[in-house]
Amino acid sequence: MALLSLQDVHRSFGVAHALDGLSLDVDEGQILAILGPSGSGKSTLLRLIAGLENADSGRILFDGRDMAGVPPHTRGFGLMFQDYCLFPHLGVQQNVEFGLRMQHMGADKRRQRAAEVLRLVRMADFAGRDVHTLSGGEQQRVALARSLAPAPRLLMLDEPLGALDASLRVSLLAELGDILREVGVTVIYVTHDHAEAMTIATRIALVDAGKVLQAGSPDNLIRTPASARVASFLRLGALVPGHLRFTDGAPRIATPIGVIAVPRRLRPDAKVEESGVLLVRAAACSLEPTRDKVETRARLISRLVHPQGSTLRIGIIGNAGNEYAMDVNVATAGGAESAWDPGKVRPVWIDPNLCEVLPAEN
Amino acid sequence: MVADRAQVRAGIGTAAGARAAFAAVPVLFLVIFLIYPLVRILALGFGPIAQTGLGAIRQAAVDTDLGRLLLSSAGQALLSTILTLAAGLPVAWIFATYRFPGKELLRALLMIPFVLPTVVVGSGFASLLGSGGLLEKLAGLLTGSAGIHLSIMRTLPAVLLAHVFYNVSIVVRIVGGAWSAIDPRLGEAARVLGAGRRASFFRVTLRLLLPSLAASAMLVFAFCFSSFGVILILGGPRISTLETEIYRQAVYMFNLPAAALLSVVQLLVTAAVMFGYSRFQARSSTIQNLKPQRVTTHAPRKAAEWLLVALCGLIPTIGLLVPMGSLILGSFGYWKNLFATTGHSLFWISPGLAAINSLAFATEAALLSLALGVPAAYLLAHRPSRHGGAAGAALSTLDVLFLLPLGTSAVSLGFGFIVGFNSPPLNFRGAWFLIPVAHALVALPLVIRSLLPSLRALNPRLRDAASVLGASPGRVRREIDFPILRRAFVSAAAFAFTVSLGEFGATAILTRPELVTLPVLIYTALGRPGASNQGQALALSTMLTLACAAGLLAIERFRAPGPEAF
Repeated sequence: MALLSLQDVHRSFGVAHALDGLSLDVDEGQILAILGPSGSGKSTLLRLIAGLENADSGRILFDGRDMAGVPPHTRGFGLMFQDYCLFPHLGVQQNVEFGLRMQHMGADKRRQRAAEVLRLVRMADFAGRDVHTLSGGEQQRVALARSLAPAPRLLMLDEPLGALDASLRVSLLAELGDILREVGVTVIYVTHDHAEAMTIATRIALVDAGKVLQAGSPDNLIRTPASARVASFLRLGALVPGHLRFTDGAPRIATPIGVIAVPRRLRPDAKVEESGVLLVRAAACSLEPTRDKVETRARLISRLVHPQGSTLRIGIIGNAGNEYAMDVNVATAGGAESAWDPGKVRPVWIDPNLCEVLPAEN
Repeated sequence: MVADRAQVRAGIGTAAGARAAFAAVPVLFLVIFLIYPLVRILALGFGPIAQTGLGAIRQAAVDTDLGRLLLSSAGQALLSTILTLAAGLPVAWIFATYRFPGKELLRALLMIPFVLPTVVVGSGFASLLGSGGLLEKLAGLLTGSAGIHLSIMRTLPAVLLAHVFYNVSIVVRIVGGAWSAIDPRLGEAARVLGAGRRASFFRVTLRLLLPSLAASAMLVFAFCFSSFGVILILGGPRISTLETEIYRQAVYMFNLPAAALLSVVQLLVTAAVMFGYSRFQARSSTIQNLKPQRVTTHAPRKAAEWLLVALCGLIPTIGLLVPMGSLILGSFGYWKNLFATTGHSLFWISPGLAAINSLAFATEAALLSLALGVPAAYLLAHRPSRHGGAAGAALSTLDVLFLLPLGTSAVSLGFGFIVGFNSPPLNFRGAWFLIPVAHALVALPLVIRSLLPSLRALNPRLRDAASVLGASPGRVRREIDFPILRRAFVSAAAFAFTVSLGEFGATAILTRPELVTLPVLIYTALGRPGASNQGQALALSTMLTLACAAGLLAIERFRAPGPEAF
């Protein structure tokens, strides 16, 4: 049985639906990332689980027990806020001890436990410091130590790296993952950054407009996106809308970039003229002529240079002039990088066997 | 499960009920001690209509010379406002533009007049401008001829001077605060877009400043319109305003209906001005692109800039120090006899008793206004965006209600207590507690306004964080709210204490010989002939000034950093 189970949870603020029938299970020991764009209801979800707000309808079960009416201070969950919310009138040590003091733990045991978690987040030398003197990264560690100290059975992290600058994020992300795995606590990790989610999570729930679009392992989400929206959010490739056709019994999709035969993963009940979205991944795209591939035209949008070669962001040009953006790696897609200049239109070749058709959005 | 839900709903209902009950105390207090007396005044003023029609009112208006009173009240208030703006804007400008040594000291210095009791300001100026005062002595020294009489005392200029002295800090605080929060790059952007220095000032800076200019002008006008002690002491019998006439009619003529009519007019005017003030105040605090001061200010660079800063800093300092210095100088030699009962008249009141009364009333008023102000401020601190519709409307009504005492003339308030609580159903005739209650009412808007910024600055997620870490709601208040807000509470209480120490208008009406306070005693002594009486008034004023300065120190010491508001 799942440790935490959300069942058809609704929550609205006035006319805006923050959560619109969200259901989700979290298993013990899991690191679940809630991934979604800002305003998708992620933070509301955490506040509901923590008991800081009440759901309009639906149930939240923890260990099989309905949490409705259980006030936040008796739930025993941990929640780390995006802006950390360290208590400004308390020092580092007292911040970390706060939750322990609420449990009426003795002073000696408190000090011992605080030292233990501060060591875990590598802040042992900062115990005597004033929180105003800490840098952003140090505050983040103290906040983590504070939420870990009472040994919560469920730890929620709300955009834990959101307030830090990019270079710090990369190093802290790996460290945060190590700490969470070492503690072995069940974690709900809210983020809008798919790279963060992919790195740290054992399971990802993609949330948009107050609903779960798809939940699964990172690998599962990348291999089998359930919809064009999921593929778009995970930046899996170019998404070209089209209509299904069956000519000579073979399924094809008519799109602005051509009529493409799509043997892979077409739902068995797919009908003629049903609309679908063609997903062209980087793997399906090559920058030099290849036999049996469909030739299309594309334009360079931007170029990202890194030591392994460069990644080009190109827009495949449809017959009505629309562009469908995707990233291709020059090293794997072949062709001469020097041939690409901003704004210049070049031919690219698409392998239909590596494309797939996803259900269109309603 | 259904039962669970019901329980939750009931739980939420109880919490909301507790909040409502918490807020009901200050509301109830205001209804009993502010609204009810005002309604009684209204009934008394307009009562004759029921019996004899509008003619009675018209006759009463003619009898009390209402038109002339209104004109003189508004006229002197308008002149005072213009002069105050003229004096305050240059200072506001240097505060907004420059960083210079002694800036914080100057800021604190300029705040002093705001908390000084009116009788102290009155006696300070009287000691400077009055016959035998410092100015006449100086003039005598300079010209070498004794017996020069400057006839400034008991004229309009004396009143205007004192009003400027009193209110300049309001302009500096409100306009200077808004000015320093305007991003200078907005002006730079305008200049890059082709606006000249002048155009960029008039079209950008001034436009952004307009709400705070209007707000400060209206507040100054309201304060001058209902000015009492200053006009009574410095204006003398020749200058009468609505406020002084209410007092005269109520205390000396016992013409309560006439006083009530004047009160109603007075209240309507101040309420209208205060309404305008609160509108502009709200708009001035929503200026876009607010920037911290370190971004917007810089040190003076050229010699001319240094000179300008020095002038703008020195002139108000001198303007502040001269009357206060004159007060202290004038009090020399009269301290020794202060506490000796030299007055043989039956009506002579010991300064010791007055001091004890003042301290006791101030303590009671501070505790009371804090007890009322904290729940009220909590209620108002809730973000308005969270309360749509009816709740939002109720909150803004409450906001106006809590601001109301600030715009209510103190004399009308005291008069309202006489009218409202001298007869059943609420017969508190002569009760001592009416004085601290009146003081608490006068202080309440200031207490609420000094608490609000701290309460609003308290990140609500800190409470959430504590709650998730296992703190019950009561524990959250004890562990988070109280320690963080403690300084703000002390500052607000000190504010109320200081206001109460100096309160004169309401006390002047409610006082009895055994309940006399220092300001009332100072006014009485000033009104008596003889150098001894004058000197004792100055000595008492000096004493009161020191007490208020101590209060101010406490206010500033514990004040939450951040934008200033009244």
